[in-house]
Amino acid sequence: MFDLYRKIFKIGTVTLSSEKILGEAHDKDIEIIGGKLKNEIKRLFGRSLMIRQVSAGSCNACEIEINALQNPFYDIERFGVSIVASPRHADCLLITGPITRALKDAVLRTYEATPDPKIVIAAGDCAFDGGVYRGSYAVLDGVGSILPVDMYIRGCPPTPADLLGGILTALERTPRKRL
Amino acid sequence: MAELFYAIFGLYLSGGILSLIFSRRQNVANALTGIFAVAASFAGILFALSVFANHATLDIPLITLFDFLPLHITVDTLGAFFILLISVISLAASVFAHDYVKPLMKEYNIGVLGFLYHTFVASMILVVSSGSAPLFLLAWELMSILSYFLVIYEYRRKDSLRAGLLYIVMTQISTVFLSAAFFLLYQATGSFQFADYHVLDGIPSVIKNAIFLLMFVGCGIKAGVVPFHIWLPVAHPAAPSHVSALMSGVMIKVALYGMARFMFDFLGGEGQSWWGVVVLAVGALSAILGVLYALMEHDLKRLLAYHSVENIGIILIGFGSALLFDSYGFHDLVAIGLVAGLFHVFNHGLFKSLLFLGVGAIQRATGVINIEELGGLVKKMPATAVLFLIGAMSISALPPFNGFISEWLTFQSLFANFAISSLVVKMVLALSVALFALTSALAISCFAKVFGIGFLALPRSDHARKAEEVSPLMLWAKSFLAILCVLFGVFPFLMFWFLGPVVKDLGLSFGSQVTAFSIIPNPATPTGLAPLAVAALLAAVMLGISFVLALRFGRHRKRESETWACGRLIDSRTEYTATSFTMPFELIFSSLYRPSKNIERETLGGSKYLVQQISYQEKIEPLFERYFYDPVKRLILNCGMWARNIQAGNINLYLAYIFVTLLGLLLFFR
Repeated sequence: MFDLYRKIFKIGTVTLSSEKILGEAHDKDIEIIGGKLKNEIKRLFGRSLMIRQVSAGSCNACEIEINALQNPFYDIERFGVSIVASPRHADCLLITGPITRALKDAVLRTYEATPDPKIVIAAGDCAFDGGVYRGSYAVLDGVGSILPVDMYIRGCPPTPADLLGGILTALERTPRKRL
Repeated sequence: MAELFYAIFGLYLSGGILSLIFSRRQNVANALTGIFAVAASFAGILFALSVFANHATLDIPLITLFDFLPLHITVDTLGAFFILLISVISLAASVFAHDYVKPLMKEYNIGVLGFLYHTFVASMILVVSSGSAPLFLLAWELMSILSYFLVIYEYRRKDSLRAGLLYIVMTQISTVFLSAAFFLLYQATGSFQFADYHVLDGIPSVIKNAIFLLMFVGCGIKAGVVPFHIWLPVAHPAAPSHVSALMSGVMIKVALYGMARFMFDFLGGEGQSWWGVVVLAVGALSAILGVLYALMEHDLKRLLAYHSVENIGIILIGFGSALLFDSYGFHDLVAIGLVAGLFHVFNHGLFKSLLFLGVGAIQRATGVINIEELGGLVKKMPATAVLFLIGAMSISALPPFNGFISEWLTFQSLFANFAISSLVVKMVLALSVALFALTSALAISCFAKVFGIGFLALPRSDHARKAEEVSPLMLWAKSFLAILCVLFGVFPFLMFWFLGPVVKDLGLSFGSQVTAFSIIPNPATPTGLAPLAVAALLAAVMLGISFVLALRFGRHRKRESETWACGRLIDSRTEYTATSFTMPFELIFSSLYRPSKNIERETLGGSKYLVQQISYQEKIEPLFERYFYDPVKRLILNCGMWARNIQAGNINLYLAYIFVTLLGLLLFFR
């Protein structure tokens, strides 16, 4: 029991204050990008942006970063962005991976199932041109080969800040009347 | 009026004979069949209407060779009501037939079909217009035999002849029973004229009971009530569709005409109380078993045949409750049950022939009539689909269609019957009401299955994929029936123009208050129905919903795309099948169906994960065949084998038989 008390007093508080975290992790960017994103979403959609994420043969690294967007640290829901479970609910498709031949039809069906008007964002180097898989017989070398893409986000994998910035740029480039 | 009556038969006979003469030139024969049948149907409709307009009874004594076998034609309003039904249905069926039979020309003789068709319709009209027992039986036999030839018309199909054999056996048994009933009537009254059968006061009740039972079995076999229903699902699929429409829509109704004639005309007003109970119980049983077997059936024609059993049951429920009123002295209320029954007779004729013609159209468009092989037809044949839907909603008794009105009336007559104080009657009534309600619910699920699996979703086979809309002539024929379904559903008072005189001529008082806007069957209890208001309300709700939807979503751009299945391929193998749709019912009623299932897997190298092919088979046990007809069949065969011992083929033996018989007769009549 004394061991336990000693340990408690010796180690002290290990949780970090928010200032300390924000200071260390470039999160001023996140706040700034997020703020802009919120305004853009207001301009284009009025309320919120719904994203359907599609993995087309990705190695899962991009997914881990996209997942991070939703954790308590980045928490993109506060900017009005949510990731939804069906393309029927989505305004935007976030596609990762080099598009393998096996998943080509599934990606096209997802595109077909998303209501117009829609924004297509390809995240990661693979989605841009096939990345490390480029030239393989099994892949189609990027989303651009089968779909019209509005925005590419480079990086292997792209960081959450990159992703958020990409989404922001895609929205900024979209004129109001297209929607 | 008599001229019109002769015109009907003249047209039918000349049409039949002409199509036989021109049978070498199939197209001419086909056209002649159609033209004469349509003309004859119009003559029939006009004749029936003129009987109602003049409110007169047509009475023609035909030539009588022997005094004791008078052939007498009498058409009263009850007969005219059935002539109207026959003519209306035959009008639609004849128009439909013209294009429907064309693919048959290569294999079969169209002229013969035309001849049989014409004489068959004429014989049905002869049954309902006969005024003496010999003519009735003659016409009844003609109708049976001609319809037998129509059932086996496509004789090259292997099941046709078997179906025909079952049908002819059943229908001959029915004639035997009916003949016995008429001979008892002759013995009791000394006359073959229907007009002499109205006064049966002096007859002992044993004879009356015997007449009732013989008649009920005789007409019941022809009408297809349980347990005599087994010929319906066999014979209807074998016949060409327009003939099935006539057989199911009209011919089994002619048997009900016989019942109505006996129950309410000859034996009217002197019924025994158990008659009504029997009719009611048989009706309720037919209704529930018919729909339960229909639910398990995926062959459209067999399914519709089982629905005929169900609807005959519903009509009998109406007749049965009328008999109960009659025997318990509620003479003012008899008309309610009878009107409900007769209204349903007409309605069932309309929507059942509409559905059979719809199946005929599907058969022509796809070549198959099994629901599991259809699907997606609503896109390929939209007009057929809409017309079939109207028929399906009518038979499911949904407002604003005609089936709703007559089933509602039947329910009302049952509820009114609770005034009878007998406990047995009350129990049978409660059971009948419950079974009838269950029947209605099951009928809706059955047609949800037919329309949902057969017409919606994606095509399940290449047959359905290649389907195309049928010719306009076929569609017009069905539209005519569909319009009548809606007409009598929204304006049922039109039907009461005919039903009022019919019940009054049978000596019943017609107490129901019927106006253009409302029906109050029993003025003592102010339960009423306002069909026009129901229809208007439905239309208003539908319009309102579509208006709101248009207002809310109308400005968005529309784009059609596949159903979302998480990116997977959607094809017909993903769909709900008729078998899976009916699985819950099969589980609930498994004690009745006693299903046996068989699943076979073809695997790769015996691994249970590498399945190459799965086949699933399912059978339900035909209870009546197994436990009623098979033993009877065995008994008859055994008797035959035993009787063969007498027939040794030795002439001396036969001489001995003659000698013994002679001796016996001499001793007996000494």
